[in-house]
Parts: sequence; structure tokens; C-alpha cells
Amino acid sequence: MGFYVVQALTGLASASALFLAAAGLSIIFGVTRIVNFAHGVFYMLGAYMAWTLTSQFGDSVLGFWLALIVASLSIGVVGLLVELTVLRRIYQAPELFQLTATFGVFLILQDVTLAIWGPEDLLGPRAPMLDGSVTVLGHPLPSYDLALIVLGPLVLAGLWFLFYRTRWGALVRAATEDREMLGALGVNQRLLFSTVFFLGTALAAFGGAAQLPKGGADLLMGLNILASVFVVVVVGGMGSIPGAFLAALLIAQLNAFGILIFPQGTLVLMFLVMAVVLVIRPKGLLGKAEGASRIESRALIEAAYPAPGVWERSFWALAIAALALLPLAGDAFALVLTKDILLFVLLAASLHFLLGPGGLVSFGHAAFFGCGAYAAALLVTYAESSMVLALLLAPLLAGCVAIIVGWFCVRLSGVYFAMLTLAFAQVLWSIVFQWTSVTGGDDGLLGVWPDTWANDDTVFYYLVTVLAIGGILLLRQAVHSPFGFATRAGRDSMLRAEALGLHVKQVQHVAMVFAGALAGLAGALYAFSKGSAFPDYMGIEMSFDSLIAVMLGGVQSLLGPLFGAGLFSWAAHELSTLSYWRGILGLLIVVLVLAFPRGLAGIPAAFRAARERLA
Amino acid sequence: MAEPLEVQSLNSYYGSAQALFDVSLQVAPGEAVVLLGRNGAGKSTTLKSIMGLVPRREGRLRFGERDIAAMQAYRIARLGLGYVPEERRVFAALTVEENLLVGQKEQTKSGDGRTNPWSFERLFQLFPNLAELRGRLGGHISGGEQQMLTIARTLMGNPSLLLLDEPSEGLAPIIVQQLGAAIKELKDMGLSLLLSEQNLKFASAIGDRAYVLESGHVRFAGTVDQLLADEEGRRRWLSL
Repeated sequence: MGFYVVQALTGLASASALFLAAAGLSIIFGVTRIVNFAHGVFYMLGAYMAWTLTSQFGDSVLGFWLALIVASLSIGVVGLLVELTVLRRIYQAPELFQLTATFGVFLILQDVTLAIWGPEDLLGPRAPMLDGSVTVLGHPLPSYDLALIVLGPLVLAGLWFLFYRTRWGALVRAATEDREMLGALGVNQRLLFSTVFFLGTALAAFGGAAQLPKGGADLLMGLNILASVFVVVVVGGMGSIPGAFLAALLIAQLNAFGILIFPQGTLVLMFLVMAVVLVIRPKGLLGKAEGASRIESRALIEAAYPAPGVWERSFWALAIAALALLPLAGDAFALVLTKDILLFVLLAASLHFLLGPGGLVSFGHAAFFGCGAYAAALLVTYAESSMVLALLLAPLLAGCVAIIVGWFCVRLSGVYFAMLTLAFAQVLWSIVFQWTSVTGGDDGLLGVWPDTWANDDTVFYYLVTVLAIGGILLLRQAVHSPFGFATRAGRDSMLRAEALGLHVKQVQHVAMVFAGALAGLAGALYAFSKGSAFPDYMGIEMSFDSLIAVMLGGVQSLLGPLFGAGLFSWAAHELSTLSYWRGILGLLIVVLVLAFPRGLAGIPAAFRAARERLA
Repeated sequence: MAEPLEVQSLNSYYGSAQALFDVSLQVAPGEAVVLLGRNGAGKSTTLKSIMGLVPRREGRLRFGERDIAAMQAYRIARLGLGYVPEERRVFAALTVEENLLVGQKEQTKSGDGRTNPWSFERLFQLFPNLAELRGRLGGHISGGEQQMLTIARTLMGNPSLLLLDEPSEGLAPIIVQQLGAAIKELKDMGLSLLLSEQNLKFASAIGDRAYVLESGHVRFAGTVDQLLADEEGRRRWLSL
């Protein structure tokens, strides 16, 4: 009995840090409507900053807690600077650009952290007076856990007071409903946004700082907390602070007890709860239905995709001819690089099908790429399947996973959809990562080589080229098929499309399965190309790389993902020799988004405007 | 003393579609001006353009000495323009009292140095129904009560010119009567009014002068009495 009580108390303690971070994200989203991917990095920075400050002043009780608070506030200031320099300029930009920009900020700050504190994991300090343990019903419980248990409700009460008993709080809640009206009443939104962003960031940093004595600080914690925080915010109801508290308790208890029953699957349990909650209450536990209509995603760039003209046809002819002739050049490395690029282009093209014609912003598309890779690798490893059979089955299996994932996801829209896709991808990633006995965990599955007939570099190169180009052309055909028209109709006006008799959700579901299967094909080919499958293939970074590629090329054009992905993987290849290449990439993304807030497709218009100004 | 509003050759756009064409109008201090026209004539767009709430507008917009053509909405509001939107846009998750609190501006004196005569008590005198609803959520009160709340919320900011967008729309006749009385009281207090309406009877009871809009163009400018006398014009621009 005592053991279970202690386990529950441990769960309560970890709920606190989770709640702090989730509350911060929820507040920021509520007011600015930006899903802030940089949030995880602020959580991490809070921990690092607290580590530095407590090592200086953390010997006394007062010094320790002051160090945590000062660390949180100073990271709040960093957040404020990000808001002033980056976010402030893109509040009117399309959703996808905002996400990409905050992810760029994530990459930059991640590398800044690496540069300042180094790659080693840092051990958390002991909190003065709280470094021992207390005995609860005969079982020991770290005293610091008690402090954390108190901290959560304390912050909740403080936030409640702030939001429900001050004018500032009333303004913030009003802003979550109708920002424009608030402006018309004389409220300076910029100031409000900045203060909200400061508070949200400081809360995330406080979450990271508070868990420091328990979990220490490492460079992965930012990315790791993101998925949990998203789950908490979505389960609790976007924008609801009490909801975030409730959900944090639920998820943390689930982790505390889940680890006893099912140690390999804590993340899976978390997801299952989210799935159940969202099926019963699509707006989360305490999410409000009234706000729902305003959460609808801002008009995605409504692209018409004209039929291919002479220019595009000649591009295809040239590209195919160049790819066919490439092996004649005799440069083995060029073949490897081109193979990689082609597969990444196929992945990006399949994601583009969801984003562009489908209007579905998926944050977890790499999941299907990874599923394809693992399907192939598992078939080869355990069933001694031939490559041909594996290449046939892998897209089907990835498509089957997409059937399940899609069934849940298409019930939601906009930001909820995006978060759910990310959560599913993280779950799949964690299954692969944690189920070591089958998937090899972090070590991956090795020895996934092509059949003997295709083992020759040139033959396999042609195989990849034919299948990748075939997949891309299939996606292209689909856009101009009745099915493609239906997806675009659902994107541009759900109500009108439904009034015409289209089952929009079903169309979206089919689109996800179609895109998932093609991503699976790319993944399977990639596994055979590399001879292995690793959890990274379905990681957040892979999902984001493909998102960035699509965004770089422009959602409006069917050739966009081709150029974007090509450019991205070439740049990644060139930059990856540099030690801070991810940070540099982040910087490039942010600059690009700031310079062209309407997207690459907006570049001609931007130049036209500049010329008019000069004239 | 209130400031005059002067709008000259206002052109407004939604994307590439132009909604207003060379709209010109004036509101003198203490004057009540009505803006008439059918649905889609551009009444709401005119008020939103003055308030800085449309994506793109061009033309000369002055409030007193200030050029407000390129100003953001919140600055325009702080100069003393109060906007009451057609859809009411009450904050549904906030209580009636919190809605009023949001309308209050940071400074006790507005931009032109007038002290704010409005308090909760004063507003509850003007709109007695609101007094007992103080703690109710904005989303949980009737349409008529929301209309009063949205006017009261704007008054909390102590405007000298009130832009009212179809306040009588969709309300029961008895509520329209109460509202008319309250608006007249505001006029008597010296507030300037620019009121858009489809209800000619309601408008003529309040307005001194009138403008009639049709497809984004001003078709008539004159006194309310002149408009009432112009049967032909009324049929052409206003009747359904």
C-alpha cells in the first residue's frame, strides 16, 4: 500500500514541472495563436540557467529558490527578445510559417545551449534542506518531491489570481476570444502579446528549473518535453490552465504507475489516454466549445495548381534525362547523394500533398517514412523476405498505420490536428526506441541490403530513381484527379464541400493514407539504401526537415517540394560538416521567414513592391 | 469638447475587391449622423475603415487635428473614437463586469484631457438591465443585453465620438425603444454619434444629418428631413 502511495506522490511531483511548461504553452497559444515550438528549448534553458545560478548561490535555502526564480525570469527575458525580434513580425503570416520560424528559433537556441554549456549531461544540484528523504508509510520519498507537489497547486493558484482577479488577466482572456475587438477598445495588443510571451516563457523555464534537482539538464530535454507538453495541452483543452493542470496530473500519474505495469510503453499509455480523451471530448477535458470556431486554422495558402505547362513538361524531361545519365559520369558519391535527395523529395512531395491540396498541417509525417523503413527492415530480419516483397508490403503497412492514425487525426482540425499527428509520430518513435528486443532500440536494425540482382550501385540507383519519380508523378496525378479536387474543396470550404455531398473527413482520411503509403515507400527504399533502420527515421527532426523542405519550396506549387527538398538536402549535406550546422540552419530559416513572411511564392510580389517603392 | 471627424475620398479594399469608392463624410462635434443603406452597401466597412479595422484603406481621415489614416485601431480608440460593432462581439467567457473592465482604458483621462464620467454605476443607470447581470458571463445573456453591454463597454473608454454599427438589428421592438432612449441620452450629453442603420424610423428619430450608401458609393448627403422628403431617392437606395 505504502509503495503505491509513494508512487502516486512521485507522480504528483513530476506533474508540477509538466504543468508549468504546459501552462506556459497554453497561455501563449491562447493569445497569440502561435504554436510555439521553441517552448521546449526555453524549458531546457531554464534548467541550464538554474544549474549555473544554483552552483553559485544555491547553498542556502533562500539562495537556491531565488536562483530558480532568477533563472526563470532571465529566460523569460530571452523569450521576450525572441518575441520582439521574430514573432512580432509574423503574427499575420500563414500558420505554417510561424511554426517553421519557432522551430528555427528552437534550433538556434539548442546550439547556443550546446556552445555555452557543452555537450555533457549536467547533474542537478541538491536543494538545501530538501536533500534527504521522508518516510511515507514505510517507504522513502525524496523531500524535494514534496516541494514540487506543493509548487504545482501554488502556481495554479497564482495564475488563477492573475487571470481572474486582475485587469491584465481579463485582457488576456478577452484576447483569446477576439483580438481585433480588443484593439478597437484601445488595448495595445503588442504590449499584451509581449507580456504574455514573457510569462509563458518564464513558466516553461521555471518548469525546467524546478525539475533540475530531480532530473538534471541535458540537450535532449527540450525536444523530449515538447511531445508531453503538447499531449497535456491538447488533453486539458487548448488555452485552459485548469485543464492543463488536470491533464498534467493525469499524464504524470499514468507514467508513475504505467512504468510498473508496462515499463517499455510509458509514452504509448500517454498517447492512449489522449486518444480516448479526444474521441470523447474533441476539445480536451476543459476546452471550451465556444472558442472552437476561432481556433480553425488560418486560411492555408489556397493554391490552385494549374495543369502542367510547357515549362514544367520540359523541366520533367530534362530532370529525368539528367537522372538517367548520371551513372555514366562514374561518380559513385554523386549516386549516393542523388539517391538520398530523391527519397527525401518523395517524402516531401507526399507531405506536400497533405499540406497543399489537403490543407492538413501534419507535424509527424516522418512517422510513415519510418514505418516503411521498419516494415522493410523487420520483414528482412525476421521473415527473411526478399527486397521486392518488402518494397511491396512496406508502403501497405505504412498505409495501414496511416489508417489508424488518420482515423483519430481527421476528427480534429488546424492546430489540434497538427499536435495529434506529432504525438502519434512520437508514440511510434518511442515504440521503436523502447521495444529493444524486436527493433533493436537505439542501435537500430542492420543488414537490410537489396537482393543480389539489385546489389549493384547503378542498378539500385535506377530502382530508386524509377520508384521515386513514379511516386512523385503519382502524387501529381492525384492532385488533378477527382480525388484531388475533393481534397482541395474540403480545404477551401469544408461547409460548401459537405453541402455538395462530399464526406470531407473521409476524403482527408484517404489523403492521409495515400500520402502515408508513399512516405512508407520512400522509407523502405531508404532502409535498403542505407542497409539499416534507425528510430531517427521517424523522429521529430525528420518530420520537421520535411516540413521545412516543403515550406522552402512553397506550398503553392507542385514543383515546390521538389526544389525545396532538393535544396534542403543539398544544403544539409554541405553544412553538416560544420559543428553548429543545425543552429545555422535555424538562423537561415528564421531569416527566410522574416524576409518573406508570405512564403517563397510571395517573393515576386515582394520584389514588385520594392520596385514600386523605388520608382 | 469633442473633435470633428472628417473623411475624404475613402477607398477600402478586402484583398483585391474594393468595397468603398471615394466615400466622404463629416461628423461635427455633438452631431448625430446616420449612415443608411441596404445590406452590403458599405456601412459597416465605412465604420471599420474609420476605426482602422479593414485590411487596406486609402484617403484622408482626420479626427480633430490628427491624421488617423495610417493609425492602428488601438491608437485611434485612445484618441476618443468608440466603436460598437454590429455583431456585438461581447467577450463570451468574461463576466459582464469584466467586459466593462476591458473597455476601460489605462489612463483615467482620455487623450484630449477630458475626465472620464463613466463608472459602473453611471452605466448601470443608463442600462438598468445590466446591473443585476454583473457576475453573469457575456455569452449567457440575451441579445438585447449583449447590445447594451457592448455599448456600455465602449463607453467605459470615454469616447467623444461613438461609431454604432446597426445597434437595432435583430432586437425586439421594446428593446429597440430602450436602446433609442439611451442613445438619445448620450447625444444630449454631448457625444458625437455616427450611426449605421437599415431602420429608417429608428435612425431618423436620432439623426441630425444622413448619408446614404449604395455599393460603396455615397448617393445622398443631407439632413434627415431632406431624406425623408425625398421619396424617390428612398425608394431607389433604401427600399427592398
